[in-house]
Amino acid sequence: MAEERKINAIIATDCGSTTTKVILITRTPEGEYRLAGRGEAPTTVEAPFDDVTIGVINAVTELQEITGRKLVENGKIILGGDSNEGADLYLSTSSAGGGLQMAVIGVVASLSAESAQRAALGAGAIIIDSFTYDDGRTEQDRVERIRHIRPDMVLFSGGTEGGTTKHLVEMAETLLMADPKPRFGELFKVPVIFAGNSEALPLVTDVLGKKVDLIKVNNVRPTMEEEDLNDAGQAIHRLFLEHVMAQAPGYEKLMSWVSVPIMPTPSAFGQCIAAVGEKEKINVLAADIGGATTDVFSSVNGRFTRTVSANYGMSYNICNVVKEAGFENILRWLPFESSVNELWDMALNKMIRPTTIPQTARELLIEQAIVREALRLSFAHHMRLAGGLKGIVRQRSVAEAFEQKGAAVINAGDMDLIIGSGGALSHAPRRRQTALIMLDSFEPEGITELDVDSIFMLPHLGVLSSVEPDIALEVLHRDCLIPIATSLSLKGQLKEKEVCAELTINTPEGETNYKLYPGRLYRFTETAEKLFSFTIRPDREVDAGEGPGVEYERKARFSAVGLVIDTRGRPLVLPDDPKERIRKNRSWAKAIGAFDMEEDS
Amino acid sequence: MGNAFTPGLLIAPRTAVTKTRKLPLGGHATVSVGDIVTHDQTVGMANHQGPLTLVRAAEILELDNDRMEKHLSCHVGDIVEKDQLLGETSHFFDLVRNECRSPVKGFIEEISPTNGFIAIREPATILEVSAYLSGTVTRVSKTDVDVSCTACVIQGIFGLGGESSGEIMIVSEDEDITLENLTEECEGKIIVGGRSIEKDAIDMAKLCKVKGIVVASIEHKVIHDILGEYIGVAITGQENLGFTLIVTEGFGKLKMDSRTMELLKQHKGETASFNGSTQIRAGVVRPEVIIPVLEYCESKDAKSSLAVAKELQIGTRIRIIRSPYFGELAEVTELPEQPEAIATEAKVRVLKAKLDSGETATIPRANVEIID
Repeated sequence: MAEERKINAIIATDCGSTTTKVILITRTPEGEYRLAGRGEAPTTVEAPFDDVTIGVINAVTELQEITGRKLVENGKIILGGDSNEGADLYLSTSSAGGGLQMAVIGVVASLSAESAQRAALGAGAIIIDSFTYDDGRTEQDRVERIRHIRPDMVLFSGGTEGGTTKHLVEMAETLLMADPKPRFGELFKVPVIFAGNSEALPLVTDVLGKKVDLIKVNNVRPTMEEEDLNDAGQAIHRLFLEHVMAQAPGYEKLMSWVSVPIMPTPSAFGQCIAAVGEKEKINVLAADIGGATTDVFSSVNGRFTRTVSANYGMSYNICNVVKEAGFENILRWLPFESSVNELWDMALNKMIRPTTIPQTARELLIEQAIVREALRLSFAHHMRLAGGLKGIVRQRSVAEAFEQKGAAVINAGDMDLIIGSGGALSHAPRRRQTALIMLDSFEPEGITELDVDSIFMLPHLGVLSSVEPDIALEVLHRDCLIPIATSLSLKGQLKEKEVCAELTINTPEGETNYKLYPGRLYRFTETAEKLFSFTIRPDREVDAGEGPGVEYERKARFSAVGLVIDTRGRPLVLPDDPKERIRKNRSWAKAIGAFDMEEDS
Repeated sequence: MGNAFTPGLLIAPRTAVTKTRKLPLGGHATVSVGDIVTHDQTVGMANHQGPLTLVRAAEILELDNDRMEKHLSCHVGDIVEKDQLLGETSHFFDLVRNECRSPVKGFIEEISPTNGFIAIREPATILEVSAYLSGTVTRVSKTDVDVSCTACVIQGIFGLGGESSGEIMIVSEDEDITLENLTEECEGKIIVGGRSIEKDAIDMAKLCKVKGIVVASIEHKVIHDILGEYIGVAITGQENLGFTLIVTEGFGKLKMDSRTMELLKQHKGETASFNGSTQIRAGVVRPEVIIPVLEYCESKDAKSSLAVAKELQIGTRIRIIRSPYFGELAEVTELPEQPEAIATEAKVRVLKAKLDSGETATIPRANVEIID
């Protein structure tokens, strides 16, 4: 197809909540498709711009300056120009709409509304407010509050099956009067998911009419003793992805520019990950950490799962990560002393000025500590959704609503490949920092390859794959996925100061033997020069991935960081003593070369 | 040359402002197009039904839901007083008695044998909506009223608390607002400080019945102490603090932008309308101080300094918005085309600048805003 159409150049943008990233792919004289350059600019969804296409043009203009190829004329991308300017295709993905903040409506706070809240939280949303008949507010108070908070979505619950309909109708009237407007009032109506007494649905539909986008799901509280969170949770997730996330001021204009429909960023990203898992026949885990959301994808034993943690991100939602994780959990990753005040002031300033970047090593390392927790929280959310919401009807209890019953669908030990993406991982100053962040966040077990999306272009390739799959795959392997490390992580009884495994590195020059001790990271850099194989012989109570005490041999692959052996144990537990923790963080960083800081300084 | 972007904060000496005032439910406008209104004048009102209180009668009376009604002494439509008996049961030969009383004054709207509740509707109340701005009514519809004026407008970057109004009083130009700055003269005013404010001063300001506080910066711990919780997603404006807080620069200890301070000084003693409502997410909402300067007119000369993408050039005045030079003013001296490595080792597009302090520095372009 590419040959027939003689595509010479492709421009693809991803409009994130904070930054708009653009790439240029060109055809070389040899007929190969390669990445020619990238540019970026702040996303322009805020006043005074209120138009996402301004950020697009700014980013493409920067790309034009960097590559020297003329791409913009009269404020528009040049399409169908000659072989030396413009592009043949312009594609885009978008997550400019940012996170998901919901309102919940119910009849009784402690019953249906509580179940609805659990469904929304389980789907990764934040509940800004909950409105019930017994919330002690006047109708006017409710109307004003709904107008003020501008929810992205409303989950409407209330009434057990066969129970009240009257109060649901009245709450529907309140909602009608509030007339909730989306944050971006362009193309879509605020989705209202009806998860209440099904007998009330026709009445509620009569009231709300065409004012909102009403979606029916199973009653979250069919009886007083039961709750059914799954259907509502799945609907929230789907509607967020399809309607809320991608929308932004200027979206309609952007739609008129692109050669194929705009895809939501996680959909495009997921398309690439699913393709990798399917083609390579391996288990893949991938995470894309953005400004407002963190998206996690897995392809395990042929089953693909995608989750969007709608309020864990590194700019607009950085404070939510700090709040949810707890500042102790952030501070534990730092190789220096810090304080709650320093952490919070930095996070708050990042939130209010989301496009700024760390200029000092100290701020970079604080941001990277927050990245670890955002990834951990999002990965936990992914595992919960991938396995936990399968059971449909649950007895009511908070513990049960969130606890994952039965065998987990995803285990850290099952992963053959973990891919990191998003600004914080793709643009970390050193690939070694990315490798260490991924080890700390995902805690892989046994042998796992770690890759990084070189410059954050997986979403761009995802949308490209919908029209030119061969070109997308070519660029994916040549320029996008960068092998950064092979990790070999041990677990089991790791006894302090005793050898937990022996390692033999086999190179053409001969063998070198190493004794491995617990609580450390080891990096073997020979892969940077030549391929080698290695043999790991774990202690009989230590598991290197094939079972306790099982020895095996593997060929290493070429990667930016090399072979990293993690003997810190699973789960990874950091010392309680702050000084000891700082010393450990420094020694691990030094071992892997993540940053330069003396262990005892 | 490349662009730089501000967070879009409006700092305008004179600009046209229109505020849409949503009428209360079922309400009506009390003004007409062309009326001159003051900020505290009512522009719409409604007679509104009271809130509904649900009483878990079956649970209180220790009955199954469907047996509840037989034990009630009230009926749908009855008017009940606070603490009036609604129903009772007795067990064990009258040794144990359960009473269900009305927690509010109102009328019985519904008795639900399915859920075991009694719904009591409280008396109606009169709701009013004020003009918020002093200006001219420019539009009236069934649902809202527009009030317009020409005003000096200053947007902050973060705020707490809702709409209010008061006279502008500069209490500290270059330093933190401290206890010494706060006297009974501050009552009913919007007090302005050029740097920050601590919790003890906020408590004192509250005692002095200050209506608003405008400061350059505030530390997170003060926000935490005020709210009693950490901020996760910043959607504010309905906190009931007793005052409205507006932060113009950021968190920590920062100095107020001189343009903002100069404007506030120019208008000291004048009445401002202000609102701390903030929503930091895509579709941002910022806090604001609005000082009407003239009656509304279709003025063409009302100017706004609301930024558009401005081009960075040699000599452009900038403000640095990230550590280690956070808050400092500078002048651009070089604009290298290609990305350069900064202290974090990241290769990014930078500019070189001479700070007002005399120091020269290399700054990521992402970390500056143009202030010309």
